[in-house]
Amino acid sequence: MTAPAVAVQRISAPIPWRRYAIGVLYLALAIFVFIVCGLHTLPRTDTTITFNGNNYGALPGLMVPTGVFNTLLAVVLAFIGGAQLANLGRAAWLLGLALFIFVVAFMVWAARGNTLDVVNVAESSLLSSVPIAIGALSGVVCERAGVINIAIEGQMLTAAFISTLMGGLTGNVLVALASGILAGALLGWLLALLSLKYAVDQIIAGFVIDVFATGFTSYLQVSVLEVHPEVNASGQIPNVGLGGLSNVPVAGPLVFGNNAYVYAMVVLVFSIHIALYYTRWGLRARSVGEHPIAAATVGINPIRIRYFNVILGGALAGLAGTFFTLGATGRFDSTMTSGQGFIALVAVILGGWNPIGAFLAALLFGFAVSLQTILGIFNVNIDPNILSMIPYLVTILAVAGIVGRTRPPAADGQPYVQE
Amino acid sequence: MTRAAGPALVLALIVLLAGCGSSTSSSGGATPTSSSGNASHFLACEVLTDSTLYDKSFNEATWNGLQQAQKDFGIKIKYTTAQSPSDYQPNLVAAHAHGCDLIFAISFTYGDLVAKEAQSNPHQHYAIVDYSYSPPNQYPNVRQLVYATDQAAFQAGYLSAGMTKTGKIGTFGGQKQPPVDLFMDGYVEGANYYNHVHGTHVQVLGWDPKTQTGLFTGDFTNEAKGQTTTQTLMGQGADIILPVAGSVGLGTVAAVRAAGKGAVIWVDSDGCQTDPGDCKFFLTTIEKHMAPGAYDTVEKTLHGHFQGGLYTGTLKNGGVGIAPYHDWASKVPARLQSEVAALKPAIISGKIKISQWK
Repeated sequence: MTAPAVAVQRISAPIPWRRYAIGVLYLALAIFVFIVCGLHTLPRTDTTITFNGNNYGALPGLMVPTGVFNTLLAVVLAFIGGAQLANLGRAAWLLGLALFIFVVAFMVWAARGNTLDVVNVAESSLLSSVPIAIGALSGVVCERAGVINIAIEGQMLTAAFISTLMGGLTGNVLVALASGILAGALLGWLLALLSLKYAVDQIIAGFVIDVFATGFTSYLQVSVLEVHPEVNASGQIPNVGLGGLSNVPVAGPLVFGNNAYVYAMVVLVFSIHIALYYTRWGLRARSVGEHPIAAATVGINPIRIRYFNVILGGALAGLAGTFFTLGATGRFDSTMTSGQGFIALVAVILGGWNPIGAFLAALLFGFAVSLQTILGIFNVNIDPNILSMIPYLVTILAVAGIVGRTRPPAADGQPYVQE
Repeated sequence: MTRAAGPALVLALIVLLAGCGSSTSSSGGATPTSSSGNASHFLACEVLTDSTLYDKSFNEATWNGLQQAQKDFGIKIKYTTAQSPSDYQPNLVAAHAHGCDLIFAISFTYGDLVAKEAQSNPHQHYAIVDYSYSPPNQYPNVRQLVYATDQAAFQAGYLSAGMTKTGKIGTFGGQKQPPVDLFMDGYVEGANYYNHVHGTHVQVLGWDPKTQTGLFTGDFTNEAKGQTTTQTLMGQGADIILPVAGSVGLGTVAAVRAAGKGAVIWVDSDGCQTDPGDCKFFLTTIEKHMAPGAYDTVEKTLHGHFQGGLYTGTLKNGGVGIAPYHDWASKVPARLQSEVAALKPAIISGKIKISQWK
C-alpha cells in the first residue's frame, strides 16, 4: 500500500527548506524589532530625525514616536517574511529590504529620546567607503584583465608611507599625492613582473608584496619617521567647499561640501566603468581576462594589456593609500590601512567584477563602519568589542550569504604563457 | 644565469627587506650636568604597545620624563616599539637581556606579562603605568603608577557642559580598558554635576558610566578613523569632544579644524605644549603627569631607593589635573572658571563624591 504514496512524493518538488528557513528568520526579526525596538519604547519616547549633515541644528527635524514607528517597521518585516514563505518577489531583493528595515529600526531605537542626523550618517558612510571603493577599482581593473591583485593592501600601505615622507620632505601636497600614486604603480609593476614575466602564482606574488610592504614601512617608520617626527607630516588635501552651496539643506553638505577624495572616487567609478565597457581598451582588457589565447589570435598582446592594467591598478591602490594620510591627519602609522585592502577585494567579488557594483559594495562596508560609530555614540548597551566586529561580520555575511555564486572573469588568475 | 634565478632573486630580496620588523632605538651620550658615579651606565628603557612614540600624548609623556632624567643625571635611555601584540613579551624579555636597569612598561595591557617577568627576574626593576596588582606589594620589584584621571576629567566635563553651544558634548576611546574608561567616567560625571547645579540638560554622547558602554575606534593609532568618528559625533550634535585614544585624538583635531567650530579636550600631556600649532583647538587638557612619575622613579632607582608597590596620582598630590586654558582663557566666562577651580578642593576634601554622579 505504501508504494503509490512513495511514487507521489517523488513527483512533487522538493520542499524548499532554505526558503522557509529564511522566511522564518524574517518573522523572528519582526518579533525582535517589535519587542526590543518597539514595545518597550511605546509609552511616549520620540526620536528626532534631522537632515543637517555637518550643520548641526540648522533646521529642526521630524519628531517620530519611536515605539509606533518601529511597530510599523515590524509589521512590514512580517509581511516580507510572509512574502518569502509564499515565494513572492525575488529572494535577494527581499533579503536586502529586510536587512535595511532591520538596521533602520535598530538605529531609530538606539537614538530614542535623542536626535539622529541621517545626512551625517550618509556622509560618514561615504567617507569610510573611499579607500575600499578606490581599492576595489584597482581590483576590478586587474582582475578584468585576468590578474588577481591581492597586493592592494600592501600598495595602499606603501603609498601612504611614501606620500607622508615626500609631503614631509617637500612640504608640497601635490608632490606627496603624485609620489604615493607612483609608489603604488611601482608595486603594481613588481606584481606584473613576478606574475607575468616569471609566471609566479599570482596569489603568492601578491601576498609577498603585502608582507614586504608591512615590514618595509614598519621598519622605515621606526628608523626614519620616529627619529625625525617633523617629517611625519604630509599635509592635507583641503576639503572642497563649493561655496554657499554646501549650506543648502540635505543635499548641500552631502554633495557640495566634501572631502576631495569623495569626488575623486565618484569620478573614477564612472570613468572606469565607461572605459571598461565602451572603449577599445576596455574590450581588449576584458577579452584578455576571459580568454587570452583567443585574444592573441586576433592580434591583441595579452601580456602588454595585463602589464598596463596591473600597473594602473597599482596606481589606483596608491591613490587609495594616500587617503589615509593626505585625506586624513597627514601622519603615517604602521599598519594604518588595517586590512581595508582585503575588504576592497571582497567588494570586487560582491560587486560582480563591475566598477559600479564594487562601488555599491564599498558603500555597504562604509555604512557598516558608520553604523558601528552611531551605535557607540548612542551608548547602545552592547559590548564595544562586539560593536567593532560589525564591519567584518558584514563582510562575512556578504561573501557567504548575499553573493551566492558569482562568475569571475574566466581567465582570472590564470597565467598566460606565450607558445 | 637561468630563467628561474630571476624571480628567486627578486623574492629573496623582498623577504630580506621585509625581515626588518620591530626595532629599538636608543639615544645616549648626552652631556651630564651632575653625573653621579654609575649614572652613565644606568639604562632606562620604555617598552610601548604600539609604534608611535611621539603621539603628543600617552607614550610621549613618559619619554619626556626619561629625557629629563637623561639631561639631569646623564643616564642612557631607550625605547622599543611594537608592531603587534605578539611583540610585547619578546620586547620585555629583550629589555631585560639588554641590561636595562629600569624597564617602563607603558600600558594596562602589560599587566600580566610584567607580573610573569618580574617573578622570573626578581632583581630586575620594573615600572608599569596604568596597572596595579592586588595586593600591590606582591611584586616588590614592580612600581605601579596609576592615576585617578576621573578626578581631573570631572572638572573637564563640568567645564565642557558649561561651554557647549549645542547642549551636547562627546567622547570616545581607543580601546575599552579600565584606564580609558576612567577618563570617560569622570567626564560624564562632571557634566551630570553641572546639570545638577545649573538645572540644565547637557547630554554626553559616546559613553554611559552606568552600563560602561560607548564609542571606541578600536586602536590607538588609526587617526583617519578618529577623524571620521569625530565628524560623526559632531554631526550628531556634540561640539566639544574628548578623545581618549592617544594619537587617534589627532584625527579629532583635524576634524575640528576642518569644521571650523567646536573644541577638543586633550588628554595626558598639555596639548598646547606637545602640539603648539593646534593650541587654539584645545579647550583644556586632562593631564596625567606621567613625566614626573617616570623622572621620580628613575631618580629613586638611580640612588638605590627603588620602591615597589603602588603610586596613585590624584588631584591632591598633583598627579592629575587640568591644564591652563591658554587660547581659550578669554572665552571661558570668569564665573565658570572659578566654579571649575572650586571643584578641585571639593573633590580633594570628599565634599563632592564623583562616582555618585554616574
